[in-house]
Amino acid sequence: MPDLTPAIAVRELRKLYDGKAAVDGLTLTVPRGSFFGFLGPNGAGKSTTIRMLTGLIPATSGSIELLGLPMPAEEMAIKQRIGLVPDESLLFDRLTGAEFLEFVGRMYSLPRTLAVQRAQELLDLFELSNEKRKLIAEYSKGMRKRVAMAASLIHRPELFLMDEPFEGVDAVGARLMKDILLDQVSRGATIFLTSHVLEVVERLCDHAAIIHDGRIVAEVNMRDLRAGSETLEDLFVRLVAGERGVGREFEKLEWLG
Amino acid sequence: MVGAILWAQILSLRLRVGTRRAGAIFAIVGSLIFYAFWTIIALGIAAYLSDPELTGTFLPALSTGLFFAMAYWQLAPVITAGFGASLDLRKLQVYPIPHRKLFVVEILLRLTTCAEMLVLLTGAATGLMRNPVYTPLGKSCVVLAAILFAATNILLSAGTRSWIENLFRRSRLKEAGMLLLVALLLLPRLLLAFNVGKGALLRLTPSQIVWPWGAAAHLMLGESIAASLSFSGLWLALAVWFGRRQFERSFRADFAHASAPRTPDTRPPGFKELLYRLPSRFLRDPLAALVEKELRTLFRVPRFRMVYAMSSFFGIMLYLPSLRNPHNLPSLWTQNSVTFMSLYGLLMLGPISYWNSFGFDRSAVQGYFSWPIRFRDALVAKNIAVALLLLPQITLIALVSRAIRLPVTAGECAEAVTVILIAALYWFSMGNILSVRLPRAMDPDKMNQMSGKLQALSIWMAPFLLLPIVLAYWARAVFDNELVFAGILLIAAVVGKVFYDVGLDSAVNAAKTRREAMLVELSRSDGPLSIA
Repeated sequence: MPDLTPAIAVRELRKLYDGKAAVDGLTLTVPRGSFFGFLGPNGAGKSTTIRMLTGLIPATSGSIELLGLPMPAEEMAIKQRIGLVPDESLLFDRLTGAEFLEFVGRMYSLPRTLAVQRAQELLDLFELSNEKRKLIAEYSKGMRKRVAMAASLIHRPELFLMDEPFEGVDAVGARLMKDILLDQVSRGATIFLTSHVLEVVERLCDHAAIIHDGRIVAEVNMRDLRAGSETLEDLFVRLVAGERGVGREFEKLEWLG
Repeated sequence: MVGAILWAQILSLRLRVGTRRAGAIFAIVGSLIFYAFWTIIALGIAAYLSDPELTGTFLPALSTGLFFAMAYWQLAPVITAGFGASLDLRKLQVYPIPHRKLFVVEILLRLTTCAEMLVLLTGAATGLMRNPVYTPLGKSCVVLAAILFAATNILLSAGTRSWIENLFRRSRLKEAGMLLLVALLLLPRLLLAFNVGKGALLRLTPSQIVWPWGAAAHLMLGESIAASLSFSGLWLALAVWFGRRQFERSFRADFAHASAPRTPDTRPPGFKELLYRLPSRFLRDPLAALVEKELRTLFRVPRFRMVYAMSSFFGIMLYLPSLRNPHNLPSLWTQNSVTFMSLYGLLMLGPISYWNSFGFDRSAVQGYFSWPIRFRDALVAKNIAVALLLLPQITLIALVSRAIRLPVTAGECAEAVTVILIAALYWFSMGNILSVRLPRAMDPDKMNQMSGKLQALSIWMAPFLLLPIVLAYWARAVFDNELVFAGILLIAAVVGKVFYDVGLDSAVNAAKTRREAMLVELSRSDGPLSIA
């Protein structure tokens, strides 16, 4: 019988820094098997939310349930079932891609031989095999993102939490990553990703939410949006920039002209 | 331009100091005590050199003093791997700043290393200036000589720093460089070994005018002014050439390091790979994987490799004065040479490993909080990795000691291993707490050491953390009884284990509440300067 609990259920989540709210009463439900886009301008609270979801930082108040389990009470069980691609690379620069993937596999309790085998297969999949003896410190930004995504897949998680996974990745690599993620969703996994590239979210996601100043300002069913005349970018700019829209303030700087 | 660099650095430091005021105050108090010590010595030197009746003794005394000052100036940063602040060229090379200006800033930053020698030099100059024997011309010679000597040392120190950093970026040269350094340190022993004549050795004595310290002493005392000025100028010119040349090479090396792709290594896994895999034979995952990762990381960090090599070889420096006739020396010092050199090695490794365990992980430290593992395992794995590295280090120390004819037996080596592992329990315990409470991101390619706060803390804590070992050796010397020695070591081991467990629990609990602050601190990047 399928588990009907949401993949992510967040209620009244708040995070205060020096009395100022980075996330302010966020309530959100992400259904299982969905491809969910979490959007917002810089500093809106996206990364803070993801960090609270993964238990990296504690919430000031509110509740988090991932895969039906409360966070942080069931922290270990939750971590075993999620895959993470954070904004600042969770990579050890002095390991090679193969060593890092094997290491991460073993962190998720895979036997070493299996971790080595999957690491090799993932390197092949992400076209990093030729660089497998190169240290991650020598990788380009796109390669770092690819190896980070490979690491998030190695233990077959049920829920992916991704912060700007396509940033710095070339078109071919991005296409590959998108196809893999869509395949994961078709197999029942849930993807929760943030991205500044609205076209990507519009094309991949079936649900999205827009966060601004720490609050959810819109929840979007992408099917409805696609049926209407407004694009995701129009909606985003309208909600985030408000009445003033996107100005042409740069024209006032004469020296720049 | 230079002002902008310093301003950016002050803004970067402001963020740190603002968050850790108590730690900063602690570091300032530590620095005040340190410089007060050197100021007292400088006042003594000033009093001696201002006495007109002792003038006849000044030349040999001053030459020898300046020789030791120069040795300290050049070797102390190497031995302690504490090279002070320096420019982070990778952050500055994109701007159109003339290299000459950056070099001037770099030289000024060298004042942060061994500033205590400037205090001593000031003391010597002040004493001579106050001495009524010297005329106004003599006094101007004192000032000129002091400036030339200080400038030579600062430039030489800048060049040495860049040279060592460049050396350790180039893997094929690092071993050769290390051998050269060790050979230089062992030069007195080598000269004796090759039966160099007494006359030749006398020509190498400090008061010879050809040496920078000899020339400076002659000039300060107004003797052979033309010759001493010529030699001082020559040494300064050499130091300028060396410092500038190494600085330019660093500039190019940093640029190449940051941009050039490396040739993929297609060699099959060899001996090193077997060593890395060794922990998996006696530990279970995740601990085995964590130790393996730690060993790989540490051995691929140039800075760690350099300090590890230094800590394995430079303990000999402690024994240089004893090398001439080791059998006539007090037995406690020579018979425990391997243990004492290994203790020095353990303390040297602290700043780049167990005192700041997550420094090289930087923002990837979040992995330990994101993966389904216990944070305790991450800390224990880091300690096990360093402990495993201590064993080959002790072996190396024993081999080098044998090579320079210090008395070393298998029993002494076994004793050294036991003592070092017991001492490590205390140091690791404190290191675990500090790694969580005072984490600091470290650049694997740079020679900057730990933060001032951490350095001050380690100096303050050393007497307490070494107390159990000191007590054991004190008891052995006083009672001349091996059973008493072994008994105290056993007690030290039991207490050390309790101390380690308590420290580990404290660090794990602190990590629960401080994980966010740790992430912020370890993700932070420095300003345009790398501060030690």
